[in-house]
Amino acid sequence: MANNLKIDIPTRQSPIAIFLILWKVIRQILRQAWPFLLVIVLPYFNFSPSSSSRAEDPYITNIIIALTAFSTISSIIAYFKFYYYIKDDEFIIEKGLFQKVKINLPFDRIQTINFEQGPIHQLFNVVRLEVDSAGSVQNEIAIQAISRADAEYIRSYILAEKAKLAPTETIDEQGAALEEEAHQVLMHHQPLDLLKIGVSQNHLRGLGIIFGFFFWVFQSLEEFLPDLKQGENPMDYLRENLGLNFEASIWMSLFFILFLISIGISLFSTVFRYFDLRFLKTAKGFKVVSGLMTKRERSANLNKIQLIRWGDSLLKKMFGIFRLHLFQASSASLNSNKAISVPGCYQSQIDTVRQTYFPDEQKYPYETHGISSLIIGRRVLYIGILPLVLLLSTFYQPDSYRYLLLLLWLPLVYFTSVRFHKNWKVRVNAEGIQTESGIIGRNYTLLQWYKVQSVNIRQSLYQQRRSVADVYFFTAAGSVRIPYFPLDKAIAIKNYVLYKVEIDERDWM
Amino acid sequence: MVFENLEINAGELPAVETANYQQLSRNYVGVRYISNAIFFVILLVGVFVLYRETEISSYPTAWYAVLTFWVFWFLISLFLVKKGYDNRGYVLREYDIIHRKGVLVKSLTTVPFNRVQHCEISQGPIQRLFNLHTLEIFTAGGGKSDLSIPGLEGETAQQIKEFIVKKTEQVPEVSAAVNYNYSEFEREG
Repeated sequence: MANNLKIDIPTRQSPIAIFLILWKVIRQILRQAWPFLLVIVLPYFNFSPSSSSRAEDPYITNIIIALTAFSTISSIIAYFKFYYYIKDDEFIIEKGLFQKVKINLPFDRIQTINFEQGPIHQLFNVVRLEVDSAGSVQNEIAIQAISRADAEYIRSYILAEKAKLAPTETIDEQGAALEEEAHQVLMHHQPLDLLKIGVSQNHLRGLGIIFGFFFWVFQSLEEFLPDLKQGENPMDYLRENLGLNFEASIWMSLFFILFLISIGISLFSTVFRYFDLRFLKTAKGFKVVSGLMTKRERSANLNKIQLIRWGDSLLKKMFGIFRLHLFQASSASLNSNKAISVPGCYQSQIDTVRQTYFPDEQKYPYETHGISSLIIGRRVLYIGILPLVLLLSTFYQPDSYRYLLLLLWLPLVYFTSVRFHKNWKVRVNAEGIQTESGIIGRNYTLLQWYKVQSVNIRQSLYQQRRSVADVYFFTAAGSVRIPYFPLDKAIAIKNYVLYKVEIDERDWM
Repeated sequence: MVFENLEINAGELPAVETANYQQLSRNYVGVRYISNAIFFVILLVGVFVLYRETEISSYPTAWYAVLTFWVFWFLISLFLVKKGYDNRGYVLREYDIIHRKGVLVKSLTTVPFNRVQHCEISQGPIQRLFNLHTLEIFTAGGGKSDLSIPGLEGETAQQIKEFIVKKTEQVPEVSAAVNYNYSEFEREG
């Protein structure tokens, strides 16, 4: 390609980038500060006739002007401080408003180079170039705006150099994904399965939404009722003026109706999302297809799956179903949601997935360890006693002993904590780990050692005194945490895992 | 022996705990003191605003309590900065880098070189006064699994970065040998 682009000289982006950075900054401000902005803006939409002091206050305009000026200036500075170039088989970006940042990305760490064109890009015939280095979502490596010709030149240059570095490696994932591959249907949901999934969903969420809604209505009543006296309870008002009588029985039936509605909501959303769910095993991994109105198809490449997790709850256990999550490493640009979840799996599907993800699992015997019983005391303290002290001090009434019922919270927390400790199992073998936890239902995690990216051991002061530690195994998609593991075991397993990771040269994705 | 079923005895592996930790530049204590002082000055301004704008001035006891609290936390934080500096350190080993830090919560992170994605050297405004740098080591594991070692002199940071980059580039050569061994092992089994 004829291109006079000097690739080894630090170059600025296309000036269009200023607008794009500005747009990004504004979006970021809105995202971070929307509650504050809402608080500032909302009073201006007060519909009650009494408030006439609208828009006279220059306060809000000042804030908006300041924010705009700040974002514009910072975008312009950001543009002038941003350089990209290629040197010694590394793609380098220098940037930073207040902090100087220099990012070196060796070619052999570059996974893919993607172009993206938004409306503004199309207008000026530029693209956004995104270099995907597998993970590191926080620190995106992207050129906001660059002419298409330059972008293509950079991509072909990097890919050509990369190919020279590793001649055997040819990546053409887009092309491979297109061809229809042979697959085996692991599971095809029937209406009954859908019902099971719907019923065994967590209804508390739906219930929470409904309660939130009613709470909001109740709060707003005071503003909307025309001649409500100052300080008068809206409930009393309703009772007197509309003849509504809120007896306990009405509350009970209201609660019951709400509960039914929330079940209805979860059933409804289940049907929408998981209608006609098919769970397929393909040559490269797994695929899930489902949906009523829009068919959603999600696939997980086997080598990109970092760890798998599955679990049940009280209801799911009765139906014998699990919800399976496949955690796969994906590029930052593709999707933020890294886990693919498959509801309503039976034991046989779980076994197949386990077998596929970790073929040698049965070859290495597991050794089971528990966690320290100190966790019981800690849970009772943090979940039981501390919140209880707060609650008791708020609800204290000198003439009534009803609030003492709150004390029942303590034995409940103690009982669940004992179960929590008893049920936490760490199963370790030479190639991987399986954890099991849960108070009523169970959650399982399976991880092969060579997928681990780094190991972290942390100890609070209390844990330092008692020689226990929390151990984290981080992977490119999710992590496994062992809480309150005896320190000697934590250290031994950490050393072993590091050894395994350092000698094992299989690609983790 | 803690684990019976592993390939090798975990007790014979080079232990992280016995490694010699490198301390950060002594000037890093200064960086921490300054940023700490800035934080507490801002807090103090907040306290004074509280005094001016609210009725706390008419409750001398509450007012003294707030001030005592401020002084108390300021002293504690000075102690924590010093202790935090003593506890912070890093070790470069043959195949990985270890970073430990923390006083109230001690944390020890190890990143194998063959899992490093890329490295960055950055510098904040206060570090710039002392000519110190932060070395950031990114893995695919994201935020919590990444390492960030502050308070390094420019040359040290550059040296460590180059060391790690060299180590990560070495991997393909090593991998051929190990893969071979691995397949040998498979054949026997």
